[in-house]
Amino acid sequence: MKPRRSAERLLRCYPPRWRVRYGDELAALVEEELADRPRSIMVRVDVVRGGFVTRLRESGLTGDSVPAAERVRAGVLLVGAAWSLAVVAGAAVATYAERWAQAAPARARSAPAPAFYAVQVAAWCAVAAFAAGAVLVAPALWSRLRDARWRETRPHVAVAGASSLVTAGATVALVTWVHRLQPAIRDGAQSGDHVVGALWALLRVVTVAAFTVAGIAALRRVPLDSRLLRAAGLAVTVAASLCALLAGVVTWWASLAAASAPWFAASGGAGPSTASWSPSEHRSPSPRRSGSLEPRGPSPLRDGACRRCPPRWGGGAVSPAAGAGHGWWSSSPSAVEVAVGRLWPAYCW
Amino acid sequence: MRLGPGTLYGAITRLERHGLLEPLGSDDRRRPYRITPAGEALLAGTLAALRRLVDAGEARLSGGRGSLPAPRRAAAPSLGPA
Repeated sequence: MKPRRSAERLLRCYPPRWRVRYGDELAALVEEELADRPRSIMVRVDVVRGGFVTRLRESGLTGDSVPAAERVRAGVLLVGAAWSLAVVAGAAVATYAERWAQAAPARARSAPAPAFYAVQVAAWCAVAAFAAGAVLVAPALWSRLRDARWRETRPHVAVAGASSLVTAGATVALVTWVHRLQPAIRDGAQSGDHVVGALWALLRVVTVAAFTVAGIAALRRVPLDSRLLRAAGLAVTVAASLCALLAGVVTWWASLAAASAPWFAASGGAGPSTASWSPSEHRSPSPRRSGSLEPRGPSPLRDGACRRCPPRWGGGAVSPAAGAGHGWWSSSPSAVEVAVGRLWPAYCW
Repeated sequence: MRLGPGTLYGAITRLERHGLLEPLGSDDRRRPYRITPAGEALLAGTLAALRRLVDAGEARLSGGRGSLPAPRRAAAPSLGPA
């Protein structure tokens, strides 16, 4: 690649406002360096690192180049971005850890159980603090969106809205489609399930990312007042909860691996995906083997879109024997699942 | 010592923001910079502090293993946080 083009690409690491002032002269210097040493990794690493540090400083996360109040805003935005990341990671962990207590041998549950409980408590603390912060800044955000600055935020909000519509439409189509499949296919007998499930998961991730970008773009334009400063206090609670959540997940995972090493790392036991499973038999696959703590291996189609509903929900009638055979009735359905099952019978089968 | 472009311009940004360095007019893409009077004063103070440190070190080395004074925090000139 030519030095000029390389320099232009490397300069994108720097914030736009900084590039207006220093971009041309730094580009000239980088071009000279790359002309002398075309294969130099160190030059590229140095420019990328410099761009990252400059972005941190210009955003107010480090240094003292911006006023203190703006640094508070930068911290709130950082926690907001971390929250979005935690939502995506949390959804993955929740799917991975679903029914772990039934899948793990009895002797392996005593140590991980408190850690998993701590994870749930930390998650609810983070949700409560985030919701309170959102309520605090919502009025200022709404008034800001209605004034002239709405034009600057509108593209981001439009992308988030369009992404939500596409994801909702894909979810309805997926659930309707899965509802008509045979159980063996529905439960992961076909490898195509994973592709569809991965695409659906990708849509959800894109939607979360779009809302994060829109939220950051809007919050950047909200005037700094006491409400935002109070939200900063809640952001600290969110950040602490996320740290506790991460520590809890690591502790849960490590204690589960340490307490049941043979089962955890076993090379066999996964069995066919249509095989029946019972909590008492411990014939569950090892996490390393299956990639999931779910009783019968991973199947993205079963994630959310394919819940079984007990007869009292008004969904599909499932006999207790069939339920036990599929291992679905070992844990109670969540309140959200109950609500969705009542509103949308196709969610169940 | 050879500074990388990113490191060099990180330093230039901070120095200019603190008024210790100023750009000169130029038609070239590469822009020359000049140290300001405030920068000269800070540089002189820093060099003097370093000189005192070198002198103290050399005095200790030439004077044998004498007892060292209790450590104390020196009031060194600073550019502020990076």
